[in-house]
Amino acid sequence: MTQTDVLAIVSFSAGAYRFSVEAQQINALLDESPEAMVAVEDLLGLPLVAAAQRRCLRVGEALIGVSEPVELRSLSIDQLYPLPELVARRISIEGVRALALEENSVLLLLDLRALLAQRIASR
Amino acid sequence: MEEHLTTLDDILARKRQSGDDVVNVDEPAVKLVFFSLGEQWYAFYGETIREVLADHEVYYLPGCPASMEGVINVRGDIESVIRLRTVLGLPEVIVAASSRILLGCASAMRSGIRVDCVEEVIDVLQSAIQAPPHTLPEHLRPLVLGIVMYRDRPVHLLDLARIFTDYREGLR
Repeated sequence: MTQTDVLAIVSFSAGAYRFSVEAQQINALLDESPEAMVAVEDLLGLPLVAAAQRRCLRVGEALIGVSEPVELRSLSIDQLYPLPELVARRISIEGVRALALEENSVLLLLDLRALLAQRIASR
Repeated sequence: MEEHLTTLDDILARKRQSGDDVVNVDEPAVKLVFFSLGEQWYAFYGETIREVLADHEVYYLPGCPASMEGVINVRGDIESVIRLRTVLGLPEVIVAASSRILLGCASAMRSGIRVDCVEEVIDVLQSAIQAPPHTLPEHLRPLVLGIVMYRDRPVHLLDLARIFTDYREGLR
């Protein structure tokens, strides 16, 4: 398999679900929880799971709090799909760009940069 | 002339028989896919149904309405699966072994449609499709193209294009 056959992603938990984002959108992974950190659940419109251990992703200038486990890994392009039209129109989670099929589940791929830009534009 | 005593049943049976013998070869027929949701039978035009799928693993998707069961992988294509029961306002039931997913295509949209059971795929004379009755529940009226009698039951012929369009717009 060549390098172009895989997509590097960072996967994490938010609410009760697993999500991922293209690794190239993430500038750093921090252990601390700075005050300026925005919970990813706020961006996605999901309830916060209080007990989960938190990590901080730096996306551009923004600091986004996500729940463990946080993993850097790769997905084969064969696992990646655009959202079917009816899903794209009806899914209530914002910023979902694609999905990946894993063994027994679906992993949603988010566009965090677009979500942040949207949030700034709506202020 | 010699009279032959007969019965009304006999006369009616013969009349029905003679009616069956007359086939208008010019009359157009359409293929319909008959399926059931509980006791009620429905149909889609066959041209809108690409496949009938059994035993397909459905992947749950977070953040979708209850009417969206999830997605399926059909030979490398990912398709949504909507629960027709929920879309039509019928109570949910546990998915049984007889349940099937119809892979539908209409209005340039494609999706799986969960039904309880696929009963038959047959050709029906166009003239056998009657206008929907005024007694249809209001929420069904925009979705029902007509009624066809099949095995002595009224079958609602559904408009898949309208179902998809309404679903996409969040109306169902």
